Amino acid sequence: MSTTASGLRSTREAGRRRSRPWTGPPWLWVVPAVAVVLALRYAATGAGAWYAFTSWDGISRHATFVGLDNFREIFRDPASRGALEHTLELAFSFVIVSNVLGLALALALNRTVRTRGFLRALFFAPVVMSSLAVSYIWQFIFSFSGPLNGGLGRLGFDSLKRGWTGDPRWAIWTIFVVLVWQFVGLSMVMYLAGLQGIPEEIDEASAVDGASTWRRFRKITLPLLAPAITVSVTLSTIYGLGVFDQVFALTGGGPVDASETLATQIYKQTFAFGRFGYGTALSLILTVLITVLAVAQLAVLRARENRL
Amino acid sequence: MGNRYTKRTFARELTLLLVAAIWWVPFYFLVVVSLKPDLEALQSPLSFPKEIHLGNFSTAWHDAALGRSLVNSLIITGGSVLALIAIGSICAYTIARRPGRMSTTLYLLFVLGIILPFQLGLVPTYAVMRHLGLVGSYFGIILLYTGIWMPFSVFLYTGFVRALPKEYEEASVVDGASTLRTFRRVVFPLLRPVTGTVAIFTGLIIWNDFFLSLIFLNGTKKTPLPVAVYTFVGAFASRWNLIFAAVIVSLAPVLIFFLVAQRQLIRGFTGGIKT
Amino acid sequence: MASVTFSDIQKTYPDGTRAVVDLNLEINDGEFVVFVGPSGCGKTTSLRMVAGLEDISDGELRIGDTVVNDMAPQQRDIAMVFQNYALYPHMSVFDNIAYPLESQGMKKGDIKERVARTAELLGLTEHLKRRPRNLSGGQRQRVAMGRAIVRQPQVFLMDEPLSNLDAKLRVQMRAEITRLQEQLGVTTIFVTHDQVEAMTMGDRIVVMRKGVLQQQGPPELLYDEPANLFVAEFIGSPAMNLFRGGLDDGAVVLGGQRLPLPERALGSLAAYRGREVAVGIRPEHLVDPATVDGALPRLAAEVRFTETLPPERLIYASVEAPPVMTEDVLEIAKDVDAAAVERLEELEEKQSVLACARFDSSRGAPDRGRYEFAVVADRLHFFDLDTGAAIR
Repeated sequence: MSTTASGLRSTREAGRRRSRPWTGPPWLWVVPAVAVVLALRYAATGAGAWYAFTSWDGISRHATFVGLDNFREIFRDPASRGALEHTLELAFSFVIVSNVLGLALALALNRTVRTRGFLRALFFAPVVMSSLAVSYIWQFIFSFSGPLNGGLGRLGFDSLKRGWTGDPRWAIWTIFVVLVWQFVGLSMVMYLAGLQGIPEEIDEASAVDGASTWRRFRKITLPLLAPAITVSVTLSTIYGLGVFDQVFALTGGGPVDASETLATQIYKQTFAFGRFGYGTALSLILTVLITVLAVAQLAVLRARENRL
Repeated sequence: MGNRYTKRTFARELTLLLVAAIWWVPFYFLVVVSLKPDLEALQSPLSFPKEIHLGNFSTAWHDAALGRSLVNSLIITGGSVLALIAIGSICAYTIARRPGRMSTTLYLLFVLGIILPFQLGLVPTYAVMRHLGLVGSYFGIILLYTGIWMPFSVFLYTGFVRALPKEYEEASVVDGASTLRTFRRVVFPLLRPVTGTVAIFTGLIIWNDFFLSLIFLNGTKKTPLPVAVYTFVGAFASRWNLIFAAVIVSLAPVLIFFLVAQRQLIRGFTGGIKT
Repeated sequence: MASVTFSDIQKTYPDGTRAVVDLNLEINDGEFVVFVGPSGCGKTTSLRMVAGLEDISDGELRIGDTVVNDMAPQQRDIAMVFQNYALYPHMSVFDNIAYPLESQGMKKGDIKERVARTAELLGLTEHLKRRPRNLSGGQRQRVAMGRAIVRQPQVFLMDEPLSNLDAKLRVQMRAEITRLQEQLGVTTIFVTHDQVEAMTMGDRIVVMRKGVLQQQGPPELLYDEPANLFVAEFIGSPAMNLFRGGLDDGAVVLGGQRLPLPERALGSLAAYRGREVAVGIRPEHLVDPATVDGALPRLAAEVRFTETLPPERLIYASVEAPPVMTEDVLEIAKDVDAAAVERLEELEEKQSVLACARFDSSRGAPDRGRYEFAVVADRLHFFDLDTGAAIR
């Protein structure tokens, strides 16, 4: 048992004795998570990308390859083109308004307001609610005998009364209102968190230096808020482009496709009309749209962040 | 500026409270209309109810099968969140504690998975699930939600485990505990903050989800609350008092949860800023 | 049988750093062995290899008769006390101590009994329900000890467990740990960077530096017969006085002053005739000439200042002789702080050494200024300036 010369020699003869006594958790543990993600995200998305080029009806075993036919149809069909337009319109306005309003609220709420927690909760509450519930509440408000028209009538604007969600011109803006109403709280809360990260002294020093409020905001607050802006804008873009629930519940995409978005089109084509191939093609376009815009935004915003 | 409560601040606060009040007007209508009997709801929907009529709630409860949907929502959300936590945490633990090329690749897989929009894979997933008979089943929809949110869960857990000092695990191993025991008794309890965030964030989104549950569970007895409300609205079109009663019932769980866990909720959402 | 045997142990990191080199050591059952050395010397790495928390690059490690290189920590039947205690923060003291027993599948009733006994042994009985964050540093340390003791393992491993305690508590815990170990008789490997701790606690001390074992043996051996310059300067507080001296016939010359060579070293020093060697004198071997009868050689110096802490008095005086500036010495100085290195460099320029002498405080202190120490020349130490090895 002692380290005699012979003992040492035999060890050397046995060759290098590498040892790994404790290596941590076994690789087996990653399998469920990886399997589920590979299957339901990557494989599915890949399959989706493939089916976009077929005319599959979702039932038959084989899908016929049709090349770019689906895409040609998409750009010819006014309904699909309209959906694309509406999607972009809606997302664009939603992102801008909800973020600007959210920022404004956050700035207003940030300091020395006693009922801060209460106000924060009030504005954030709609975020946690089901989009359906929210949509139905607003559908009532927008209905012909609803409070909006009622209020307009009371103020003497009788001529402005209309069935808002059934009006081809206004339908999509009703959705816009609902989205903003529901999600301003989220942007606000994110910007509040971002503002918390800005030390008070910096703003005070700048004021002492004689900078005006607007200048302080532009030169100090805004740049320091850049990370929060990046996250909030990117997230609202991704959500806005793919919005389904509110459109479906509020207008159903109508009247006559006036408020149809890509997401509702996808649903309609795939599950109502059974055109799985075509629906997937629409889905591919939506996915590419979201990915490209999100990545582009991230890149631009991150670059501006780093310029700081 | 500073901590002085000036007149300006008071004006600001008042304005904010006013804006908040206006913001909550829709809720006023929600409550008021739900308390009206049919006739009044039709004739004068906007005024304060002449008497509190709770009958709408029981009607909605029965006709929309809200009780059953509530149970479905619980099963589906609970099951998905449990899966996300259990499967996600052990995967993240392995990735974080076994550095190397394999781990980095896997980590990347999950990070990209967060960014990848899920819509494109929806149709093939539906087709495959239908083929496997999983459409309209609890298992199927739980599997779906688990797959969609797993990257998020793994991402959060990995970051947290990486920051955890290794000493506790070392002590546990030296104390004679197996790796599984070490994870169960030492590591996982220490991951409580992340578990909370994952549970609340994904739980909320899954609970409120409509699109996916519409596609996969519509027409079955397993519909969660959002779809149940949708079906009810489809059947009772303009009977707002009943519809709103149903809506209130469906909102109740979330609102109660919100009142209770408000702080953690908001923290969970804004934690995204740090990443 | 719980001996621990290192056979040719090597630890090399992927980037090439050699943390432990050619470690050969046998620790006997029941021994209290202390690994000591400056930071980065490989002592903690060696300990963690015994625990199974570090891979062994080469060589063989045995616990008892079993080769444990590839054995998981769980199977080695060892217990470890970590520097930061690593107490499970979400568990009570009771659960912390019970944890290893649970992991082994012991029955609840038995666990309760064992934990109660261990808690009593360590004075933790009133704290069993509390959480680690509500305990003081000393209490936490004892819980960590409790968790280690409760299993009655073959080997205790302790990684600088006293570093986070304040001085007084440290001294107290030192005694407690020693007493405990004697009582339980478990083989213990204790790692510390504090040589005082090492000397007071160990049956045997292992001095390491840059991954290489410098010397091992009982405290007295390392103190009286250091194997090289590093050990000589590392062990002992205040540190050994080191001078550069030239060898002459039967004497060593320190900056002009001659000190006769001890009989025992004459033979080996003959080879160094005409060259310089490092000469070491322990502070207690520079004595008050008035206290000795008989002719002891004298060493003249300039008294700078004294530190009095009864029962002893430390006299700091400059000796006009060149200091030893080898790598070892510099490294030890660097370990203290940058100022120490500066001071050394200053002394090198001035070619003087600030020597320390240990007197009895009952006698008066010498005045500042010129003074002559009596040197116990018999106890001079000599070291090769190139290799640092002791010349016996």
